[in-house]
Amino acid sequence: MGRIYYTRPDFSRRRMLRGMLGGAAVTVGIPFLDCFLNESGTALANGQALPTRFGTYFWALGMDEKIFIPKKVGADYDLPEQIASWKDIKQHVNLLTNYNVLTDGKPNLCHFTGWVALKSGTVPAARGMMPDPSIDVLVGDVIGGASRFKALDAAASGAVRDSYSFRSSDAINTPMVSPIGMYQSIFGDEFQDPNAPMFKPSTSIMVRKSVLSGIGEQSSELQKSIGASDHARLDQYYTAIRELEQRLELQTQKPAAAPSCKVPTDVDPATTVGIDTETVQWRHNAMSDLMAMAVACNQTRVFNMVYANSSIGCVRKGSDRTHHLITHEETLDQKLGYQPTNHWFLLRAMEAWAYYVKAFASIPEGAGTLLDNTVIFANSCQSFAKIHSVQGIPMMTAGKAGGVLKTGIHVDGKGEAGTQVGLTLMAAMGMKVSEWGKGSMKTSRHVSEIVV
Amino acid sequence: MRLLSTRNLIAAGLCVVAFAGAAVEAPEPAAIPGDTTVRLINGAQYTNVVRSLFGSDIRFSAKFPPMRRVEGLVTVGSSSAVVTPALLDTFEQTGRQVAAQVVDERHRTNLIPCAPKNEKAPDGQCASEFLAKVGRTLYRRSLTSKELEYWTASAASSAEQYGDFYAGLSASLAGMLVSPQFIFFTESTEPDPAAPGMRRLNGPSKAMRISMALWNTPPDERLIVAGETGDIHRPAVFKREIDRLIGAPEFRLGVRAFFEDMLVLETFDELSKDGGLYPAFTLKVAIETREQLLRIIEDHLVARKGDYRDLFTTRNIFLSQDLAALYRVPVKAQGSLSWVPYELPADDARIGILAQPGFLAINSHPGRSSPTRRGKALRELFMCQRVPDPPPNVDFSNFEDPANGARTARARLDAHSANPVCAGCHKITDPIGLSLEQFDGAGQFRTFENGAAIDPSGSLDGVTYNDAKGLASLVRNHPAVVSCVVDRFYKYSHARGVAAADRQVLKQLQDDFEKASYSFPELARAMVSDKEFFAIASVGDEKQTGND
Repeated sequence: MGRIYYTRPDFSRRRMLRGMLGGAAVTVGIPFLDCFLNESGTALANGQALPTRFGTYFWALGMDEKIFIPKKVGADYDLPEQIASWKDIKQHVNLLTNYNVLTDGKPNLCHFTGWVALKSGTVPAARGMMPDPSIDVLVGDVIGGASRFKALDAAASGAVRDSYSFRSSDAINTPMVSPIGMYQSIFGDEFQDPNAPMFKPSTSIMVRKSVLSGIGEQSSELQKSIGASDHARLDQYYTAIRELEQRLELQTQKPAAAPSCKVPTDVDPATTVGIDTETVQWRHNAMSDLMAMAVACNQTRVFNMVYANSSIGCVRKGSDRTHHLITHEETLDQKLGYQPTNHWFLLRAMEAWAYYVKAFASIPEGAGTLLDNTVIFANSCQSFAKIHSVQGIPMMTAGKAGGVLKTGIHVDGKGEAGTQVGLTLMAAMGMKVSEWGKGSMKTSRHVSEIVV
Repeated sequence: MRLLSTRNLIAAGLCVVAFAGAAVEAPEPAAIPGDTTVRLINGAQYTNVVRSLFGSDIRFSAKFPPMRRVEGLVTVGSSSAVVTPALLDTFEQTGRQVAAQVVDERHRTNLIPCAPKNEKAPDGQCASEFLAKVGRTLYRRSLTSKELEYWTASAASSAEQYGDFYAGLSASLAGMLVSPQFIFFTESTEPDPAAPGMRRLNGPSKAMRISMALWNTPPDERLIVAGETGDIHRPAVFKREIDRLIGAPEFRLGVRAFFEDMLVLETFDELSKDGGLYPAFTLKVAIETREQLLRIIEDHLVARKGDYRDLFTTRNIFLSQDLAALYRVPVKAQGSLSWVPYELPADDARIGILAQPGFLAINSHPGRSSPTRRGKALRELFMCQRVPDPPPNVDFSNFEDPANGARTARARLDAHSANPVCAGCHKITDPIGLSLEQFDGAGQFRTFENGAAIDPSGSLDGVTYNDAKGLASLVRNHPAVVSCVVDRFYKYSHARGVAAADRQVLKQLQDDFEKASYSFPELARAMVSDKEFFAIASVGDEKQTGND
């Protein structure tokens, strides 16, 4: 991939954190401190733009082309049956269809190749191989240091293995898997309410920072005794230490006011296990609300949500088959032109996506909403899951990324590399990336239809 | 019954499915034999260390994110795992959770060997005494004077900020619990006096490698001393320590850890079944099926010192009251014990670990059994064979084509045999899995599916049998199950893959295993006693330890 720079002059204070994260030079802005919105609510009081956030969303097992893809390309697209639930969010959502994963002869690894290629720009050579970071990690390296959490990950499937966010095969980010666990992590004892009238730096945070700083200072001793390949691993450890120190440093200063931040108080304490659709949707909706509020409260600027596992999906209570099994075993209804039960599961997934988008769109921020200052990138693992097709895997974006993206547009990718979407979004986040992807997935083209 | 030649399989360096057209050679790993490793600690090891230091009264959750499984083992993956920012957050949070309890009023008297002169002020002497003691276990060696000075000074500085000695001590302990010296098991080398110009693992690293292999926990005080003094290099001391470790109760923990890794038991954390279809398979039962499997293994291999192969035919199991519902047998709790030993009747269709819910339920769908998954699991987990991924563009629709009239899994899977694209792989898995079809997706015995009688006959590598008992017997005598456990334990104990150069050692270990009547403790003893276990093949200058 091309070199990545962050050049957006958005923040009143910034400092450079230089490292070699993912092979890219990195510049990280720190958050606006003591800032308030201007009178019109379109910017901070000092005239600078509101921060832009980046999120991802993953759902399993694709779509039914006949009832998913709108007939109309461009603005004000129609809503076929499978995405009818987007009625209230269509204006926020770009739908990107007919973009391909070009494998260059590498095997199509079922439920793996598609999402790895779209998330990282690289088609994996073997199962489990993820040689390049996912897009959220690249974006997080640039903007993630500006908040308490570098990124927040959640999986409505309830399984810690269900992550589609990774720096490499050995560094996969782990999601939170229950609403109560997520609440405790974000809004528990260590949460500092940005709207609290009083602010007193926490002794505990200052001590933690000091302890971590000491660990960093002892790094050379250990480095002496290990080989070159392990040096890189220790480097990543010390980078994580420095990043945590910096995030703690932020917490020793009065947080920026966040007028839309309303600390949740009523979180279901259940930790129900299971992947039946009702349970997954319960988890999903509760975690979506928490995620949106975590972003509104400036706890993170990068976030990832997983609806269901790529190779399992959900299960319908009382049924002996998972959604995944159904995609393969259910007969294509000749009259309808699709698989009815598979459609039922995909309807639920699209309802969940609509809920997620609404969660961000319903929080006011400045003159608009939180979603206006956010972009969420959604994708699945297959297009037609029955045959594990990676051609035309559907993708969506939601939000205007601070006004640099248009929304409400259906784009026909005309069979070109799906990496164009990721490249466009990185550019929308202010990253100067000249090209992205490897092999035939390498692209320097942006999806111009959605760029302002 | 036809047995394949283990020797030929090993000599060829292959795992071979004898008859199947789609058989796959296990890829030759690229690992360098004899290299030192830097392993990332896992949740079980973290728990073992904290418990050994502070007891089981300290409550914390060490559910760290799963590491990548490399060559079938998470332990091998731990040698390349990295610490992400999110993982570091988890380590830091867990460390603080543990440290806060160690110094709280309830625990400090028992866990801290001294009391400060003034609880509201730093006390360097007391802090140093405590940190030196716990640091020795956490770092698997004595802290250097520089390290001890640092952590003591850090405790003092924190105590001043808090105005509380114990809060300061807690901050330093939490810091040690997130430090790389604790969370990475780093091996170091020293010049080998017996081979000029060559290097060997130094004493502390040697002690650590033994302890991790046998106990899945860092060395205890006695082993640390043997490592630090260099006595561990003396054959008599080494033998005495190996005997002690294998004879200790902690060896059971080590055996459990190995089989948890080999059998991919971490997936039980997310196991759930449809409550309507399988009402007896509650969340509690799901957790207990895993525990049951480990108890059977531990009991058979360690307590009974049984033949490893007999795991596949043993009738000695353990039941809890809830789990007994799956077996439809009454079980009475024995006093405070929640688990009771149970011997399956000789005429029971259920025999060996393959027919227990721990294997059957995890290798099924949430709402039905899966002969394919079960067959695949047997091949991959117990025989170290690799079943290829299915081709992406296969249409399974005829599975539920009403015209097929398929009521059983066998009838449904017959559909695959008509499709040559599917047939190759399914021939590897399904004939095995179909013989376990008399156990449903929750592992409960049944004789009918959808009103049709279940035919439990099957075949393995061309040998046919009538039912699950026949499968158990055949697997028990299959050479691949022996070579597989040797191969996996070798990788596990070295925390790395094997290369061609390791094959000769593996063959020798397998012969030793056979001579020891397939006793797992003897396999473990032979593994860690082999001089190869500590051999360092190539060490560049940059890898030489600073502790020479």
